[in-house]
Amino acid sequence: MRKILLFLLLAAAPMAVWAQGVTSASMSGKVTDQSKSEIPGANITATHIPSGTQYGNASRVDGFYNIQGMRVGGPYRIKASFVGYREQVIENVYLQLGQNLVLDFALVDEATQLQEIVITDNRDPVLNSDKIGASSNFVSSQIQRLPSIGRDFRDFSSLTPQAGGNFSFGGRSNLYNNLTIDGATQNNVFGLSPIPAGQSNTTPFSLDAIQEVTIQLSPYDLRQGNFTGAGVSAVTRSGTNDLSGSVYYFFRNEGLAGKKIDGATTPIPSFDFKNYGFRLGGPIIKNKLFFFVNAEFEKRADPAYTFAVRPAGSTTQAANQTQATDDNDPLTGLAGLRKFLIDNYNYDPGVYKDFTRAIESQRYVARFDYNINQNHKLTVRGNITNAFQDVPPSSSGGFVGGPPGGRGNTNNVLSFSSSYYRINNNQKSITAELNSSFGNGLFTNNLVVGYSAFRDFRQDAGGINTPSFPTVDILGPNGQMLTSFGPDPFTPNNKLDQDVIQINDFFSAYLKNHTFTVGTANELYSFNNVFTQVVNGVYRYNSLADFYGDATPSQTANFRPAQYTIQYVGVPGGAAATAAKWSALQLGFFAQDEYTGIKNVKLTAGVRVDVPTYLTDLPQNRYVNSLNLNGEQLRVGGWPQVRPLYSPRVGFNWDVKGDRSTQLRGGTGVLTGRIPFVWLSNAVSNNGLFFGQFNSTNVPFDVTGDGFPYNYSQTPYTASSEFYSNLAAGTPQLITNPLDVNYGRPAVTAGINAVAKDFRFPQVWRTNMAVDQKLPGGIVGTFEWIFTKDINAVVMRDANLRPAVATLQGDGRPLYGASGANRAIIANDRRLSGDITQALVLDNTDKGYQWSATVQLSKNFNQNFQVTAAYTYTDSREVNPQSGSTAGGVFSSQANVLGPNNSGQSYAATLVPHRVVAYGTYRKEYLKHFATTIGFTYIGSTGNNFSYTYNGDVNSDGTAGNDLIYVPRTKEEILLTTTNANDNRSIDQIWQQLDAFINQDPYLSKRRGKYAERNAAFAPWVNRLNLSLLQDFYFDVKGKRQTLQLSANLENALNLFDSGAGLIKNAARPQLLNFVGYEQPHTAGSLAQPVANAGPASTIGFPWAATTGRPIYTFNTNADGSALSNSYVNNTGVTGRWQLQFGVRYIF
Amino acid sequence: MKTIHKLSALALALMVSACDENDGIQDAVPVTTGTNYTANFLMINAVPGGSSLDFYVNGLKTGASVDPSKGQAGYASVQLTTPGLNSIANTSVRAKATSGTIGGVLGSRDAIYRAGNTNVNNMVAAPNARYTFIAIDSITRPAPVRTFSLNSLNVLAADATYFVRATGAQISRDQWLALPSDAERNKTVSIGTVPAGSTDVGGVRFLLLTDTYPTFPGGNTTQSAIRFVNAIPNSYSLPTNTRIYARLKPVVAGANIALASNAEYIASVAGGFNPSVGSRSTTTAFTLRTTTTGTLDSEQIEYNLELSTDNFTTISYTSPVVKFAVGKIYTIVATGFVGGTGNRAISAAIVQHN
Repeated sequence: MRKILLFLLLAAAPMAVWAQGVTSASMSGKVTDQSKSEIPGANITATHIPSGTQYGNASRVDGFYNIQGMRVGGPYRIKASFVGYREQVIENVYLQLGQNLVLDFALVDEATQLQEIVITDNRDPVLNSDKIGASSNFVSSQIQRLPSIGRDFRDFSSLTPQAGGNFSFGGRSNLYNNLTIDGATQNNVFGLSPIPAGQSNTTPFSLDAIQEVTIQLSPYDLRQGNFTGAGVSAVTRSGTNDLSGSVYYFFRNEGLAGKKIDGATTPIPSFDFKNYGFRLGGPIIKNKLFFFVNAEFEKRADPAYTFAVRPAGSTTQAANQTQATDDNDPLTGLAGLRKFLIDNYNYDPGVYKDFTRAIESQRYVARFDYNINQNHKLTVRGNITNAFQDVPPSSSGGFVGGPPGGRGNTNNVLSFSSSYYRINNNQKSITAELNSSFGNGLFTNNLVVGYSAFRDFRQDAGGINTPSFPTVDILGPNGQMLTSFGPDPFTPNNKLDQDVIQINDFFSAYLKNHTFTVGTANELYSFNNVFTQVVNGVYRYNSLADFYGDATPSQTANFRPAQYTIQYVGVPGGAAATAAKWSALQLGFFAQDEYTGIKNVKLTAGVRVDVPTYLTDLPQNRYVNSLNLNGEQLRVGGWPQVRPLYSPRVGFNWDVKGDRSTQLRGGTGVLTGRIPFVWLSNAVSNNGLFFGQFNSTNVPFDVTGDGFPYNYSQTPYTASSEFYSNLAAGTPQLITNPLDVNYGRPAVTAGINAVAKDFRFPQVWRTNMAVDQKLPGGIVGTFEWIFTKDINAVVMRDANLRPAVATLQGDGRPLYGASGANRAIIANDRRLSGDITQALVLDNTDKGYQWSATVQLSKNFNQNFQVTAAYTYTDSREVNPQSGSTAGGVFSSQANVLGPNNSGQSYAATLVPHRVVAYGTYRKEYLKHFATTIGFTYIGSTGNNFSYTYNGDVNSDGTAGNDLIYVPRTKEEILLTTTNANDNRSIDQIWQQLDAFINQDPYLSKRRGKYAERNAAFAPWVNRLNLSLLQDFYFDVKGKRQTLQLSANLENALNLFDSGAGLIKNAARPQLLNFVGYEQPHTAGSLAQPVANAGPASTIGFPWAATTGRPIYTFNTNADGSALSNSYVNNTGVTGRWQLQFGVRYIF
Repeated sequence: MKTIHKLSALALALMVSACDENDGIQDAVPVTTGTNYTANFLMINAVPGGSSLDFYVNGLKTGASVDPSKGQAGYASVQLTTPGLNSIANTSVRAKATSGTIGGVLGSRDAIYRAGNTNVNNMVAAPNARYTFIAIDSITRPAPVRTFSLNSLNVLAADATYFVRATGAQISRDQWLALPSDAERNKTVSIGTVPAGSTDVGGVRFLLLTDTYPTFPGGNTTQSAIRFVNAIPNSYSLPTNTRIYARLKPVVAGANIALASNAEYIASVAGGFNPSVGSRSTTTAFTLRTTTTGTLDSEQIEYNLELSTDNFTTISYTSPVVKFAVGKIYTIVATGFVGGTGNRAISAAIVQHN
């Protein structure tokens, strides 16, 4: 770090410049004569040869010219002419997305005897004056040639050196990116996925519709905004004067995937992938009006599970099998459970074997380019995406801890197909862009208008409506989840409508050495979100036998669930009435100047102001807002104050020697982004008016014995209307429903989400410095350093959490009060108000930073042979992991020692410290009819990071699973116990197993005597080599090339050659130890008194003050009884193996 | 230009100062001494005709090769990690046959203590408490055959095991239903019902007694405390003459001490007997008895323990001479089968607790 800083201090020379717009390219330069005198009025024309589109301008009084809004790609023919001078022609110019090509002309008078000057452009993608910030660009030839088995543009964005995994960049959350297509925002701004249709595991656009992709990490062009991660821009293809197109088909299945993992044959359930479609582009009116259309269909049937049900009668559990069995075993048998449910409850929980997850999408794009005249070009693009995916059930418990081991398939858990859900992502979008030039090129204007409608909703897997049945989680003999049936708890009623209208206008004026641009970028968002988590209730049983006992009409109190949780609708009108319907506006204005008046230097400077504004009045919860929570009053139903957010930025590009052999570039400035709007939307719906929460261990499965499971929401709720109105009026509600009394429901409680009054959208201060150097052998080297400091980062805190009451015996961390429901026991209650479970407030912190250093080498041998390689070191710290899909998820995912409101800064969840990226393509044409193209991508990186935490709520803060472990040095420092009656290990043996685990763990072995840190453990290095082979057979028909192309894409090639290579290793058990209780007797003094009238034992805490003895943990064995002895397990899913995809394509 | 350099340096200095390390962590203050909490376990093998047993508590062997009708000599103290409320089970108790099989779930040679109806429920042991575990019942106790059949889904009918009084055999509910007449069925007794969803693999099971020591009167010079447990599986309440009578009969002269009259099989009366699966637990009081004339060993009275099924018309078992010391606490366990012969004959274990 110190060396880098020293370098930067030396390198920090004059600041300078910038990048271009996000949908087009441009060119500029100066026209002089041989004596370097400016030539005003010279004609510069650029003709996009394939479409005949002409762009042109005359040089101004100072000899400068600008041409804006040019089509990306080429080739272009560029001419400069002036009366009395020889015409200069430059051929074969290709323009990249966002590029400003600088071309100076020195015209030679006709008297001079010279031949026509023809220059062929050989522009370097790195060494050029419009490169300022960190960015990557992928052009259509790379998109066609590099391997991408999923045919997903993210396969290319991940080749950005500073990328992390899963579409994250620079160590920041992927929800902080901005994705634009043809200049219009295409984000899923609600933030449930970084891209539209991302929840369906697909992309909104076919690769065949994409011309180029650019990833900007530090743009100093103020047109770019609305992100603090990366700006990812793509432009779609355009039609040309040639009618051209392509028809294609790609497929892969389990027969084309690895059978072995690390030497062991590991069966893979069958799956199937098909992707097919066509694209067609051409003229409607030659040189004037063009069309491009693309339609693509993708159908996948993916394995629903990796670990299959254990066959009936098998006495041992094979490595790829679950503890659940395909029989009637009273503790593990799923066959028996299914029959039981059908016969007794008329409920078919679905199947548990031989089923797949469907993933399908249809994508349509139509684009029209209209050359109104030389000065005005109009583009209209529309697209439709319909996608869905069947998804395994969430492992979350919602507002309580999730079931141990989760609901997703592992060697413990096999959930019934009814608990899988289908997410549907449908989108329609239309964008129009008008590029205009006025005043002989002195002024240009770029207008973009866009509208997108996103319609996301959930169903049960298979596309059926979600039944009104509770979720039931059942634990197996080893204390981990065995199975789950009933709908995923987050699926009933779940839907999200988003409408986004965008209007951008950028106006530029070109005056001598200055390009002034003013502009406005505005987005109007409208949301309608229904999210009724846990509305059908969730039962958890400690064993299948317990469930049978409780679900049998003759049940007794011996078999009650270990936990019952429900969030019921408390407002008249049912689930629909709980919709979060609201609108917001983000206005952006900016002014900037690009200055080229210093020799070999470009400078840009400007300021942008963004103003997030909220348009909807929300229902107030006057009762909650009247509470005094440790001096704070909540603002339920209140938006943050509207305040402008300023983003000044300056950038430079300095051609040190004037020959583009050494280039220094960089800049500094503020980026303002959005938050995922779901975090705000949660505050709209979780206002304490719409929902109430209820936990109990005393609710039988069939309360009334009517053959239907208990469903609080179905129970006539006589007080519901009062509930709403009384709370809104500021009166706490008294519950009169007899069921509340029967089953020990203490009082109405609700989860509250609110936003701090002075909450601001994320802002970061980002600085980058880079040097690009032409090296021997035609290699271009780049060293790039990016530093980002959070100005307004997002934190979620529980305003209802009382400060810690004691320290935990055993390791000394803060300990919170119990969750006794009776407000009379206030001294021992961790909550400030007993009417509220949690009051999560969206707030800011200035903690958090990221920096990265990249070394990159690239070489273009020729147009058909290019190789790039880069290494990046990244550090990223944050307070809250910034990727939760609910406010509660953000809060509960912050593993901590000092309490959830004081979790401090630690490694970011999205941090990938070391990353090597290399890619290249080579194409060879031969024998007049053949061409072979090979491409490769390699990404080597540190594995995913994670936190070692306890399973359970050790510090009694109300959130299970978020307490970082203390790593014991000796047996005396931890109290261990057996897992259950089957566990025949002695305490010494359990310690020996834990001690051995710590010793072999590369992280824990260094943390003895300390707490584990958040996200500080990293899975082993992952090598990923992908190869592509394209074999073309081409021939001419009427002078036009026709090509038949066969392709093979090999994903994870290393794994093909060695089943022990290319593996992905995941943490075997991040929740390493299970917390089972505190030691008796209570030792912590006066607070450790039994609490009178404490109400029933809650599953999220204890009815006694938690200031008790030392915590006791179990260190569970593996499902087969063997010791957990390795920190990591191989990913045995499809992504952990090699896969081969074949394709056939016809191009004309 | 210098100004720009200076500004750059300032900016970089600010950035460096912004690079704080992780701050959500404090130094841990661990307790470096292990737990002081222990509980005390005394193991008795009351399995007639079975193997000698090894006993384990929390995976530690606390009793080695305890023969049938014998008990461990004194308690084994085992370190506990006793949790607080919420009934978090934590102490595992297991018996393992040194040879042969005893049924059970861990393996054919194992039996485990189960605090509930299924194998996942462990024992909750309290600090400093004393527990007596008696391995009871027979290695031949059949696993109840479920009439709760997932195929017939007759979930209302629970499992049951029946005892045939005449032979001591135990039969399933299906076998019981197959008996030829009501008269035959009247000659049996239900051991209890097994609720649907429970597990019972048959064989040996555990009886847990929580030992609450009696208070001896001040100046006691003649009394000891004795608890009697009928662990004879086929000594059920009907007909009455199969119940157990127990007394201590002085070898030389003097009054008998009546220990039990018409006592039922303890597992059938123990608290927690319903549901009938798995382990049982109960408390049985120690009774103060005058068993000595003074504090000297020589002043202890010599007794024979006598067991009978017919109020001592016939004596089923007579023990070797036993003596009881002043202030000491004993458990006497009647073992074997009514009508049993050889190693299944009625016998007794006498263990001293302190």
